[in-house]
Amino acid sequence: MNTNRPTWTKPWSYKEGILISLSLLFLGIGLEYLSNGIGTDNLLIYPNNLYMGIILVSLILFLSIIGRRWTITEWLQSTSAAICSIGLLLFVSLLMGLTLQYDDGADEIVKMLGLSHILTSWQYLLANLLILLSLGLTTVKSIWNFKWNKLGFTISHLGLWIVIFGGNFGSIQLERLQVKLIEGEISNIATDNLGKPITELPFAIKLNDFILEEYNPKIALVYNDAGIMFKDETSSVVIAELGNYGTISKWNIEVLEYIYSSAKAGNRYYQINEPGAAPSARIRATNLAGNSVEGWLHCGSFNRQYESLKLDDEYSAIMLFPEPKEYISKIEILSTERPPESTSLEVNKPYYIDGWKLYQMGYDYELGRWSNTSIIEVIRDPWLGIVYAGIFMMLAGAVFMFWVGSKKKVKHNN
Amino acid sequence: MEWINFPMYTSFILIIWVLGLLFVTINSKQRFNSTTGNLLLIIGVLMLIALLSVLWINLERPPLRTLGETRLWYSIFLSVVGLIFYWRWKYKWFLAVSFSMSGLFIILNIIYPENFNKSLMPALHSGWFVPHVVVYIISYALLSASSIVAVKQLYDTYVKGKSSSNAISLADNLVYLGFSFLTMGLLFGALWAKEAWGHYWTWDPKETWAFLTWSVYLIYIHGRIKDSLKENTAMWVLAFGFIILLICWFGVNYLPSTANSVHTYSKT
Repeated sequence: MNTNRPTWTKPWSYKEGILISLSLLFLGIGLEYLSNGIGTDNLLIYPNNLYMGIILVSLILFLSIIGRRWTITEWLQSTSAAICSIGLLLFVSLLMGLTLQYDDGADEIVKMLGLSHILTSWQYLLANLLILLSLGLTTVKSIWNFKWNKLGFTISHLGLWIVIFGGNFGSIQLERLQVKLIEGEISNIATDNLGKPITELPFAIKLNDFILEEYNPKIALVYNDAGIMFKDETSSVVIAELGNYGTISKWNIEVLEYIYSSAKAGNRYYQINEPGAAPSARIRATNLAGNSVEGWLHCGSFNRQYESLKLDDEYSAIMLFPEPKEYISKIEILSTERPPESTSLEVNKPYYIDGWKLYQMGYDYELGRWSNTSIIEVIRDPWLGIVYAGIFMMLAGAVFMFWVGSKKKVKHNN
Repeated sequence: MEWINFPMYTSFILIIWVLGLLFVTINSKQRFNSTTGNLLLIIGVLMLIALLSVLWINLERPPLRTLGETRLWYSIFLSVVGLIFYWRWKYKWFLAVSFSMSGLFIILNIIYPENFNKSLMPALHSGWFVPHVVVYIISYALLSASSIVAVKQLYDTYVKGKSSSNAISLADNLVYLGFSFLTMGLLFGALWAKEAWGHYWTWDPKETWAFLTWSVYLIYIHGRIKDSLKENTAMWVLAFGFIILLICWFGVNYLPSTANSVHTYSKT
């Protein structure tokens, strides 16, 4: 880096880069202020994202062809531009990483400067445009001067460009809706996350069955007076399972009986299968002094009272609600254009149909495993294929980098 | 956790490592010392791997959910990185510091044992779980090793007045490998997120910090092209990158921006 070179004379380097980045940052914050903290919310909508893409690609091609010897083009293709543009986006994202991103409840000035909605702020948009410009020009240059030994460079840069553009401006067209299903009923109404109907889907979904599997519940201690759970770094729960034992605080807990689906009759619990019949366990708790307490615990449900066991003046033992292990909706997809399709939806296993992905999202949490409602999320993202192409190019680039990194020359003095 | 006496077992590993390091550093010209040292270090690493395997079998799920469990993986990878790069680059200080850091994470696990909890929420039941986290921890091990080089270089420059340009090649080596794993971890995470939560990137605080970490190392890599950044500046970038990495790994849960993160599995 030649530090004696006057600023703004060819070739530009870090001095100009820092000035450009700072100007864009302040320009962004200024625009944000002038827009009364509304940001780019109204600008970044379909089809503006497409226009922006066309303009950006045209500008990159224009600078690559007509303006390829211009000082600014050469700078945008340099490592100093790469570093300054990444640095600008890094700084803007750092603000996002440090502050709560909700406009509601944010200070007026924080909102006016776009700090409570960085993703839709002008500074974020400008930082991304600078990166896309610099990265785009570098990519085009490396495509035109293509060399096989720089394949990793070309595809990782192209992939990143696609991911940044698609992820920021393509995903504007993402549609994320919900369908509430009730066992035995059919629905094709998609709502927003507040339940407001938005659209009718091109297919209807029938919920045949909702199944929820649970882990065994945990046994814990609570302080009698404060009502809060005793927590310790070493052990603070014992899993309710026949024969299981463990120590919480100064109490040894032993599970003598465990019933997954139970109800109380008289002074004990019995196996019973009916809605709301929750787990129970008979435990023996023994403390260091040899005092022993025996009794039943029941975690309760939407229609059953829970039962705890008082151990001494300080603690009582309780049973926590069981945590869900898996929940599955057995559904049938009905459409006029195809025969009905039956499938099981579960978390991490979405189902694809006609451009929509169906996700198992939720259920009636109060009813738990007796829920006959299932919430399905339906998502359409026309840019997904494009972004995935970019992601796989970046992955290929990462493999290339692994190759280069492991072959990096060892320079030894001896 | 009843199946193993964690403090006893791991303290034994720490003792073996200390002995191994002593053999390697003291009078290592003697073939016997160097072989014994290396052997002791390897035995310690194998014992850690055995511990992890037992944990995996007993928990009936991959031991990757809590910070304590990821620290164990990290200790293993960091010690393996320490050994491999020592064999290749012959820097004893590098071996010593990477094993000390690895040991520090074991000590942290002894002081702050976790509730070893068998349950795993449905979103974590996925084929992506193991590759995503393991690739990330390998990358964290490599990148923290690179920050060891950075700190040593900065110390040599400012305190001793001269630094070695060979060591910077070691840092480059570590960062290239670490960054390639970091990129894979990030993108595996994105692909998984699409399956589990419906979108590949939602700027969840953990994702934001993962992006920040990725960006800092991206700056370092660009800065090293034709010495675009001065060596010293590059070393500062590396040191700064490690702070961001640590915030991403441990600190995110404590930041005000983390009100509704999907990445906090171990708060209960």
